[in-house]
Amino acid sequence: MAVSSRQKEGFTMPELEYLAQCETVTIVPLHRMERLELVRGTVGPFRPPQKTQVPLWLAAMLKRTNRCRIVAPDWLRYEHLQKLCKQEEEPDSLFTKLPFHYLEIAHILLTVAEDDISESQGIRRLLQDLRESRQSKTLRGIEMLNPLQLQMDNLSAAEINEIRPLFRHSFNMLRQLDSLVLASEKSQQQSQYADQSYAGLEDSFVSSYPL
Amino acid sequence: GYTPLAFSADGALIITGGTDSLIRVFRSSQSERDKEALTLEHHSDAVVAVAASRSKIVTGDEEGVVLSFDVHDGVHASGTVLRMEMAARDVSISASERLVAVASDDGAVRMVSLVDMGVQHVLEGHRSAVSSAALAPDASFVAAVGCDGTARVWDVRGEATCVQVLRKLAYTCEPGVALQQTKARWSPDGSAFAVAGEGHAVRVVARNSWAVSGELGGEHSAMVTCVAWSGSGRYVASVALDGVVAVWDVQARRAVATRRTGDKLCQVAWNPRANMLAFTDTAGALRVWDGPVPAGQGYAPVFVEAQAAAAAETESEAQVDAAADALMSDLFAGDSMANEDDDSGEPAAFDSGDELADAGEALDDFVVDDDGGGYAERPAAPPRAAPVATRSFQPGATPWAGDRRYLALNMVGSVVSIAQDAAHNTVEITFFDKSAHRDMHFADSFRFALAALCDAGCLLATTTRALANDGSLRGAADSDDASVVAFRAFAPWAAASDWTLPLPPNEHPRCLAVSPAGAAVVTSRGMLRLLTCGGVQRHVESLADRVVTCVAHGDLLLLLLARGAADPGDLEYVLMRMDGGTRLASGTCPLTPASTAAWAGFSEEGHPAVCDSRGVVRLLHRYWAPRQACWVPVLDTRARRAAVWPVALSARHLLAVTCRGASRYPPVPTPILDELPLAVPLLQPDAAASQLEARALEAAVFHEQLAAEAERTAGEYPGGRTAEARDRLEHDKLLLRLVQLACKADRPQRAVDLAAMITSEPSFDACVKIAVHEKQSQLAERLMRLKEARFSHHGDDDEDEDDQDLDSDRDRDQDQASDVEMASDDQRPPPAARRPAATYGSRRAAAGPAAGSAAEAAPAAAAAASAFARPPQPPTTARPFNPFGVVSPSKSMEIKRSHSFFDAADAHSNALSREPSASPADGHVLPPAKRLNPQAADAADAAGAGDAPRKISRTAGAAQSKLTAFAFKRQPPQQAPPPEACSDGPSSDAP
Repeated sequence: MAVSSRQKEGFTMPELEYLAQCETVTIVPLHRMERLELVRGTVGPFRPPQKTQVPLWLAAMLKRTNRCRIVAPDWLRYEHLQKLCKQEEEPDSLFTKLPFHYLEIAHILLTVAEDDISESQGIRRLLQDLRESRQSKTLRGIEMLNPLQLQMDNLSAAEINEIRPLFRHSFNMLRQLDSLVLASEKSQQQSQYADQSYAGLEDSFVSSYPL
Repeated sequence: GYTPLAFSADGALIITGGTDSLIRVFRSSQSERDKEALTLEHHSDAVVAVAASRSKIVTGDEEGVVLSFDVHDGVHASGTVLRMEMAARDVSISASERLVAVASDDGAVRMVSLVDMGVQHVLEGHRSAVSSAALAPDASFVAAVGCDGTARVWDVRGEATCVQVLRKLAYTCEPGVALQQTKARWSPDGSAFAVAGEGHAVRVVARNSWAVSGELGGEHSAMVTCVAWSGSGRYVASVALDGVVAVWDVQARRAVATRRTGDKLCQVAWNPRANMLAFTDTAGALRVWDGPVPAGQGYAPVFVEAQAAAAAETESEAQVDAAADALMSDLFAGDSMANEDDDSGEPAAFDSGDELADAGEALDDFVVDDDGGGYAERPAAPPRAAPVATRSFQPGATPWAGDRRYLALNMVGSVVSIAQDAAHNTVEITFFDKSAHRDMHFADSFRFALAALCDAGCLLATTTRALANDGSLRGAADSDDASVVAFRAFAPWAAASDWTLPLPPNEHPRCLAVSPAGAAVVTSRGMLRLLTCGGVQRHVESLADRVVTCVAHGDLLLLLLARGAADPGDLEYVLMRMDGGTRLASGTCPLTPASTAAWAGFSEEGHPAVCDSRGVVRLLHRYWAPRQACWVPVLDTRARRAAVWPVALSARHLLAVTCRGASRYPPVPTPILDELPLAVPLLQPDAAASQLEARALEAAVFHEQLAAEAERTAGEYPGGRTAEARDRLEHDKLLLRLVQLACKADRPQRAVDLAAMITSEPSFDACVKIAVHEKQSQLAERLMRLKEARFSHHGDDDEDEDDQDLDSDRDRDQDQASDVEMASDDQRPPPAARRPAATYGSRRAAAGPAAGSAAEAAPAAAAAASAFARPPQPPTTARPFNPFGVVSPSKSMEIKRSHSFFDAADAHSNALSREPSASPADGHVLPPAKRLNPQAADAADAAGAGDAPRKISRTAGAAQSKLTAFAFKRQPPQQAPPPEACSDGPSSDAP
């Protein structure tokens, strides 16, 4: 699929939220309804008070019209987030496991269904903490950028989106420089010029691209 | 200052108050006595009264504030019991922890229910401030002492009445000065109370006669401020302002021990479980006297021990109650006093006493009246004569929690009663399905105590206090007024069709059930009254007065009956029609040992189910066939940590509220219900196969129930035939998976057993295919024979159904339509019957070549196949006859190409086995970086460069291994031979 030049620089938050709306959430319907035939599959039937799984956009729509209660996902519980925050703040810890669209889902749920989420204020605060500690970790990760790879597991969509513009340009530039180094080494081997050292060139790109 | 004091009922804690407005909780055991006390800062004025029971502490202060605390993993404030204008002087709590008596300077004694913190009675009659109020342990009488020296005894079981006035019994003392007052105390068995009076003597007043039965005097020279009874009721201790502690033998009327201290003593308390006395003085010191009764006197806590013995006999609380009653009556007679010296207080007896208390707690409140016989159902004399009534309950009803309680909670919604004031409550009906009905609430001047809810309406009824199982006062009528049954219809067109029917006097509802087919009321006189939803009385029947609960669904009514007080174990059940016309089934309803029924209901599909207090759910199965009914355990929640409150049962889940913390009841408003998947307890629950087995069993049970229900009511299978075919297919699929597992594990007998349970022919064919695929030719042969025996009359007209992809879960929805077609084909009359016999031979001859080709696919099976007599092909079918019905080579090819689960699994395992042979140095799939980087790294190392390049080399190595792993997964397709390749041979041979 073609991506417009603007989107190469990252998505906007509403766009990401739009993408996240296909994730499924659990709801308790308040109205009895039969199966719904949707393009991406069937959902339902809705039999209160039995839970059912629906896409987030449908859950939000039903919630706005007061036709369901949304069951907060397990990872959005206060105690769980507290645990994650603690893990995240440990030195040398990896990124904790969260859904790929966790920020978007949490934002939508907290906007639409605040009354269904217990301790929503505390959850907001914890999400903020989580985001900040992950952000600092991401920045530290980018410091280690090299021309080969950047491995940050469990990074979420919004977080990837944040580093995308910086990362894309820097990585491309590093790759170009790396191939330059190789080319120069080749020529060095061929021409036996001893004075053109690799170390000097390395120094030059480190100084010109402080990351 | 004045220092009040109390022992907790288990004797482990000593609770003191003081002028510093703090409550201190000490431990009484000798090892922990010196530890720092727990301090509670909840009062803002001097604490002058303390009382404690098993798990509650009640304290009163000079401001007139009475607080209660829960003892449960520490001590927690549980609320304000009462606020008064004037100081509290004495508090007393019943053994059941439901009722508190508070004496106040304003001359009144107030009775407060701890259940809802509501004032039940204000006992007015004293002409002066009341210095002491003592509530008998069974909450039947209150002994109050006024500052003018008059003692009044009130009967508080029904309307509070003053039964006796004893003038000049106690000291005349100064109102408002705590230290100049005296306290009355009941004996632990409730047979007498003691209070000190003029002459510094302790007077013992016997119950019922209300006359002074003994005077204990001669040791004190100043005002006796407090008395305390020993756990056995044989000894009384008294403390006085002269600093003397005296211990008296009540029967012998003499002091057995005295002790002199230098301080003015305030209060005394006796450890209910031990020979241990605690007393306080005006300096605020707490002293503990171990062994106040000398060893030679033979101290024995006879009351506690006898109760423990009763507990050992039976676990039923009802019987314990009865035994306690019997014991009490013995004590009244005084004949047990003679032989108490034989017993010595053994620790073991105390332990079982704890068990008794625990058992009392474990049993649910709504089943058991544990208010200690507060009310009219327990006449004062003689208690033994009172029959132990069966405890009935309403499914989904809870006791009061604060000002709210559930009257009903089921699949439809909830009925909550909210206490408003003495005259009325509010009833709030909330629905889960907001589209069906609108939530409603109305003022309830009857104070309904029972409710049942269904889609058509809500049935409500009042009951008397005696029958209100949770001892709740607000939900029950005060006297024997006629009870009423009321129905609120939900149908919008029938708004005026609500009805209210009064019951005859002395007949009160015990439990209710309602469904759109009608209403059922079981009353205290053993009447089962069946009505229509419009209020027409349809049927009246006399039942034994042992009904535990009843519940209705559709036209079915389930009644649970106790077998009688003598046999508290399993219950009996009766399943009948709502019009009373027929009884469908009856028999024993099994319960887990030492449990009671906690919930009864119907599954969403309409099958009776019962959950006991241990959390085991049982479903009534095959009740439609005479004498075939059995209870299948479908869920055991005992392994779960939190208590589970069942609400409803759907086909695959138990909908329940998981209770948080110590609470055993759901909170208001109803939280989101948890869905606990049903699990028939099979052996080897961890193995994957037995999980499938359990699911197959469940599917079979539910399918059988639904089909029978459809047959019984002559109606449609719920969801129509599509749903029925789907359910059958679901069941067969589970079995097929089990067959495949059995084949893989090389257990052919197991596979045959499983295959025998398959219901439809196409599924059976798939089963044969699995056997062939797994190269179990002998099994395939056996299965073929089995199939012959089972489906021979069907002939081969299922040829056109072979294309069914039976195992494809993903395509299930799309396949549904064709599945139905398949199912309906099975219903056709056997085609063989229609065919002319003459064609048989010719068809058979034509089938010859096809049989030969099949032999190549499964040679062993082919040998057996020649012996099979096959019905002929219908002439319309152009294909040649195939002795296997399905396993023609081209067909088996199709199976292999299909995306069935085992195909996918095989392809995966093939791919895995091929992986190591693939060359990792497959240049063209790797990105250029991979090839370049090792060289770069080597070059950097050779050049002896600085840190940065070395770092790159390390990460480069990591990147390489990652990329190689990636390369494995992205093998070019030509490298992996497609799974079909091996079976290409036979297909080319096919005609």
